[in-house]
Amino acid sequence: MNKLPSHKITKAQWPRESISPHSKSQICNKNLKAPARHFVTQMNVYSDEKNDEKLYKKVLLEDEKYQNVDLSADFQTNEPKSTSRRQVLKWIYHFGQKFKQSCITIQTAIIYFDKLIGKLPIMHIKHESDLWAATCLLVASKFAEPDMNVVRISDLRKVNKKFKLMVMKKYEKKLCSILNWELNFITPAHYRDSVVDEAHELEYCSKDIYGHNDTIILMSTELRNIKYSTIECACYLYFKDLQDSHIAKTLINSFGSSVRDIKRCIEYLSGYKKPEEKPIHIPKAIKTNMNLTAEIKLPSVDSSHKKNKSVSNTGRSSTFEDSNCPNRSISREQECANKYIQKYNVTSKISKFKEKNSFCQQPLARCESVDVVNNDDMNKSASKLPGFMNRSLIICREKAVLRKRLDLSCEADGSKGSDTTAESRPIAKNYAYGVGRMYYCNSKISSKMKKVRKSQDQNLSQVSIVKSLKMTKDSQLNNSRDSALPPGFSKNNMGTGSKQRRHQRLLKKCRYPLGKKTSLVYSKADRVKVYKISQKELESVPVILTRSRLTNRR
Amino acid sequence: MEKNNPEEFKVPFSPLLIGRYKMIKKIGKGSYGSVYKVEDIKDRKTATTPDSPKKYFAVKKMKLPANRLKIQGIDFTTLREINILQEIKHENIIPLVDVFHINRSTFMVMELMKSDLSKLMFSRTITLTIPHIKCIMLQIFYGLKELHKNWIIHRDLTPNNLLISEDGVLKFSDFGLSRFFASNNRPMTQNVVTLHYRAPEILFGANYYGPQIDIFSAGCILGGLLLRGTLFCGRNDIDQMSQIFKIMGTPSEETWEGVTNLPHYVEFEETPPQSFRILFPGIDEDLANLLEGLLVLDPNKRLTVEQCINHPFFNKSPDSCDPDELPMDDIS
Repeated sequence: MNKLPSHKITKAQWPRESISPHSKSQICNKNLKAPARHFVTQMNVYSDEKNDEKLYKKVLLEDEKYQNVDLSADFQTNEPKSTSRRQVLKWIYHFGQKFKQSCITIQTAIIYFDKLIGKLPIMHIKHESDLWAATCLLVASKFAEPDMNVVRISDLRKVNKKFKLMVMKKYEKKLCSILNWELNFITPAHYRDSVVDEAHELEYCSKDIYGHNDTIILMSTELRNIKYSTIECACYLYFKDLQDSHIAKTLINSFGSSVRDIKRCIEYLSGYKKPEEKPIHIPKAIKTNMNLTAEIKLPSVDSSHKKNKSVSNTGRSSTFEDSNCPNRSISREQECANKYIQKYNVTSKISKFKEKNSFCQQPLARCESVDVVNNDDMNKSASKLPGFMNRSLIICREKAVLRKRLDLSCEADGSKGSDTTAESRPIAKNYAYGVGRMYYCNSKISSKMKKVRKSQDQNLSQVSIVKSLKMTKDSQLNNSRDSALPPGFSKNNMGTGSKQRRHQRLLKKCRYPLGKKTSLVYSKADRVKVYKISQKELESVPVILTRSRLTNRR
Repeated sequence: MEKNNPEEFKVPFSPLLIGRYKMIKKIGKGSYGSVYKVEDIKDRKTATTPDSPKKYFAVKKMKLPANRLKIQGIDFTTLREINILQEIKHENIIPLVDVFHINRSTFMVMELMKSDLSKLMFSRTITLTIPHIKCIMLQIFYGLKELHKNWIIHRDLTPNNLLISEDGVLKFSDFGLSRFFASNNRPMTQNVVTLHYRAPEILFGANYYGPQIDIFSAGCILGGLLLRGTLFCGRNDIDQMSQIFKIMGTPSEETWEGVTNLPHYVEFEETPPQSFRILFPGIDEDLANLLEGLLVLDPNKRLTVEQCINHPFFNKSPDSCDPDELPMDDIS
């Protein structure tokens, strides 16, 4: 007699199999459904690949009806509001990529923000839009990102000093309670694998990973009531230029999405990109310096906007100099501007300006990648480095930015400057306020730094680095930092404060350990900081760290 | 002077939490934090009759990281645990009643349970018969089925994390390590599962693993129930592996495809697999079969939850007992 366990199950206390998985309330709650696909592809561990695939699509597509709800009609229809929403999404996207978050994380952050809009009065969000955006990104990365890659509040603080630990905690709790702790949402990115696989099965396309830029643009739009799977499909088709081929039809059929929706998406995508290229984004820092350039009388050239801006851009570099040697800088500035305008014709100007802009937009102090230095070797070496090199790279980067500025001024002179030219050096001195010594030593030794320092320099060679600009010019630095934010975001509030306080703050920062293996020693002479980095790592960054004679200034 | 919101000024260890939960005593402590027994006062007030029975809950206070610099708001493990517990409602998974914050720490209010499986397993006064074991294992499999159905791996399945209520219903708890699998093609960490219940593929450092690691842990628990102790009790990773291979035999390319490609693969002395009927004399063939199926080294060949539930061992007489027939009274 074979009795099934179900025979016993009929009793009330016994654990029953959960009933009717597709009742509405459950579906709204259960959210993420995806089978074990990664280990199928990676290790071939499990044999039920095909069944899994089918299940995956089936479950995902069934859930979709309930997932994509119209969130907040009010926020969409009113134009200024929707633009501000788009800015927030831009912010999330920009910094999500900076922190190397996956597309799922970024998209969930966007969904959190959308839910938030529906539940809070809009004025609340509008005043603190950047704070809310940051919390959304933070919570999303905590939830979806693997453990090592989670964004920390200290990272966010480097973006904007507004994001203090206590403030962020408060907002985090608020966000969680507003969302009722339901943090798991399906995003378009969840459909990506199946879209790519579907296309791959038809033997037309490679399995390349494609940019998720388009998806986020689509998510940020007024196009509503479109399924996420169609969004992903449309992005794929647009990215691969397959709109008209018959793969498109089969793809659309298999995902059950309507042709009209996909056409709308693609139209929007193709329409969106063109206007994006035309207007050139002016960072705020430049705008504020427009007054300065007005004082310098420029030769009258046809006043197209672009030229004015280019002048203002060079004018900005003058602001860094004038406290030390104002006369010289202004005269220099005039020359630069004149020559610059005469030398280049309009087309080259635009391209030049874009380049400059691109570096202007980079935040100064917080960076993980070294994209300012457009050097392939540099990028490669940066990717090899472990995490704790970041700090030194920041310094490198600051120097690189400085150099770029110098280069620009030299270029305007026509002498295609590099830092080795005699002209640029004195200016570099002006910028440098303190000079650090960099020691080669192993990270293991770092705890025994004192001993190393006693035995001193025989094994260690010195490398000097320009630490930062003069303290008095911090506010200007802050300006340039802010320029990284899209317009509409507030500046740092930390600009005001006495010199002493700032100094103390710097001191405090230095005493904390920076990473797991790095530590920072603050020597007695106030302005010298010592960074410890192993030799191998230093060798891999030869482009930027150069030996200079500035060490003697200590 | 108006008083500020009293909720914010409560110290974490005050007898009343958020003015609702009255602290009674500390029950347990672990890597995750500490657990307190708590009485719900609000419910008693609202109840019509004053003599209505008192309602007790367990409050889990999440531990803060020791390093001050590592404090980054709500810990992400807590975040995931709350989210998972909220989504899954099942008889064999502990229900989450409430979540609140006081100062820095997060508190989770859960159902109060009498004890956990480890006490039942390791106590020497209790005798566990085959029906008892069947009952316990079936409940574990039902819980696992619900989890795996929702694409969640528990990743820390030990007797300590299996709580038992007074009625003898087994409930999963401590989802701090669990996660959604296959949300994307991301590798997972290897520092997962208590060492004694860790599956061989994690010990070999595989970055991509699946729900089968839970099945292996369940197999270890079944072995423990028969042995009344831990089945594989290694001191470190390599010792653990050697203990597993002593019984299951050393893996080779023939028995387990792709072992040699795993990151931390080490060759061991070749030992043939032992049969469980020799190890546990007196058990019948189906039980030995089930044990073998649960503890197979190759995750590919390991049983799935469905197969476990439908295993002939559970269909045979003697039938499994009811949960309330479990010998709960003898637990001191």
